[in-house]
Amino acid sequence: MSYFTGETPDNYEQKCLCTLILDTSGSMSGQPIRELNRGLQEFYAAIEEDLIAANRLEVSITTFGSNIKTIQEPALIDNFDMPTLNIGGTTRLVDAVRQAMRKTEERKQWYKETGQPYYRPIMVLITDGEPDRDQDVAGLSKEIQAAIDSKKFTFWGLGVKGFNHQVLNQICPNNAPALPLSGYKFSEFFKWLSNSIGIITQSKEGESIDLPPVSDWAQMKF
Amino acid sequence: MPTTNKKATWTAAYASVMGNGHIATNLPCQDSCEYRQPNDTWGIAVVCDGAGSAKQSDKGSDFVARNIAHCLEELLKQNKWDSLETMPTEEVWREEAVKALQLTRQRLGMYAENEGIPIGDLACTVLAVLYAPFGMLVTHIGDGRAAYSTAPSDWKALFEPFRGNEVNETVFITSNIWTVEGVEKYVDTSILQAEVRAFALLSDGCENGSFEVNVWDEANQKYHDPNRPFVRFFEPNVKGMLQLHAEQKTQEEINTIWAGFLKEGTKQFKHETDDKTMILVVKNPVAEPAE
Repeated sequence: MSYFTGETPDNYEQKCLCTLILDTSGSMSGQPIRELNRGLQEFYAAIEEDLIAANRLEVSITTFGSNIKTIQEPALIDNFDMPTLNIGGTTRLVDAVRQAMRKTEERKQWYKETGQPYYRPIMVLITDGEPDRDQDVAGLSKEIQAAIDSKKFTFWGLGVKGFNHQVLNQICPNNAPALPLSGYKFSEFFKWLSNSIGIITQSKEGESIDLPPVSDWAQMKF
Repeated sequence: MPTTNKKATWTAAYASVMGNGHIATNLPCQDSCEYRQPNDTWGIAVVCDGAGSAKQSDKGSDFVARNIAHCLEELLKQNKWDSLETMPTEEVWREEAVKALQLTRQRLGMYAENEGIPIGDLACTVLAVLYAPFGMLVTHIGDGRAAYSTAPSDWKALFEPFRGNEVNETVFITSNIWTVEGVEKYVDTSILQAEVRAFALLSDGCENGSFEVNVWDEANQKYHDPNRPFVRFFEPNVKGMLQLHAEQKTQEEINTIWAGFLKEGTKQFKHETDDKTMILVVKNPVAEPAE
C-alpha cells in the first residue's frame, strides 16, 4: 500500500539558456559539418528524453561564416526542430560571439522582467578555423573575461581539427581554456554537454564547477 | 479558553536521497539531515544542503547537521528550556542560535584543517528548528523551505529562503558572513508561538514537488514565488504518517518508506536532478482515556 500520496504543485520551471555559436565557414565542409549536424540531433534527442532538462533548457543557435545568423532564438526544444546547418564563407567569429552575447543578455533581461528564475547561461563556441583578419580577437577576449568575472555566463570554446589553438585560448576565459575536439567526436561532446547541464544547473555562486571527464571527446595532448 | 497541551508525542519521517543528476554523474548525496527527540516536550530537526559544486559538501553537510543538532540539544539542557513550557524571547533565541551556528562553523574549520580540505569545499546551507507542542524556534542560512500547520488544510511557510538573481545562488555556513553585518543579513532566526500539528523542513531539491515557488501572477503579468506550501502535497502525507503511527512502524521502517516516496513517489521527485531531503513531523493524536 502507498502511505504517501501527496500531489505535485503546478510550478513553472526555472530556465537555463544554452547558446551555441557554431562555425559554418567553408572549411567545415564535408565530414566536420556532417558530424556536427549529427551531434546536434543527438543533443536534441538527449534533452527531449530528460523531462526536467526539456522543461528547463532553452537553446539558442548563432552560426557564422561570411554572414552571421541567429538561426534559432532561445526556445525550449519542444518549440523547435533542430536545424541542419549549411556551410559557406569566411570566419566572422568575433562578430558572431558578440551577437550571441547580446542575445544572451537580452534573454536574461526578459527572464528578470517576467520574474522567471534562471541559471547562469552557458555559451559554447565551436570553430575549426581562424577568425578573419579584421576580427577584434583581443577586444572580444577582454569582453568575455569581464563577463565571466561578473558572472554573466559560463563560456566554453571547442576547437575542431585545424583550429588555431592560440587564438581560441585567447578568446576563452582563464578558468576554461580551449578544448580541442578529438577527431570529429561531436556526438560525444554533445552527450557530455547534456550530462553537464544537470551539474551546471546545480552550480552555486562563486564556486568552481566539476563537470564529468572530457576524455571521451577531447584530445588532451597537443 | 482551552489550555495548551504541553506534552505530546510525534511521528517523524526523515531521509536524504540522491537526485538523478548525481546518480548520472556518480556524485555522492550532498544533503544531510538529523532528527532528535530529547524528551517528550521538545524535538530537534536539521536539514543541510551541500553546495552542488563544492567538492566534499557531502562531508560538510553531514558534519554541520550533526553538530548543529548536538549544539541545540545542549542548548536545551544548559538553558533548562527542556523544563520550560513556554518559548524564550526572540532576543534570547537569536543570541543562542547565532552562538550555536558560530560554534559549528568553528568546528567545521578545525575539521577542514585536520583533514586538509579547503573550507569552501565543505559548503552547505542550514535549516534548523527546536520544536515543542506550543511553538517552534527557527534558524536558517541559505535556501531550502519550511512549512507548518496549525489546523487541517492550513499550511504556511516558516521563513523566506535567501536567494540571489540566479537559481541556486545562495549563501552557506562557510560563506564570508560572520561579521556583524553578515550575521544581521544572512542568519535568519524567528519564533513561532502556536500549537503546531505538523511541520516540514526540506532542501531545495524538494521544493518544486511540495511548494508553489514559481507561478503566474495575473495581476502583475509576471511569474513570482509565493513560497506557499502545497496543501494537496502535505495533507495526504500527514494522513500517511498517522497511518504509519497507528500501525506502530519503527523509525527505520518509516524512514525507508519515506525515502522511497522522496525518490520516486511523484513524477517531479522521480525526475528531479538535485538531491532531496525532507523531514516531516506530525503530532500524534491524543489517546482516548480508557472507560
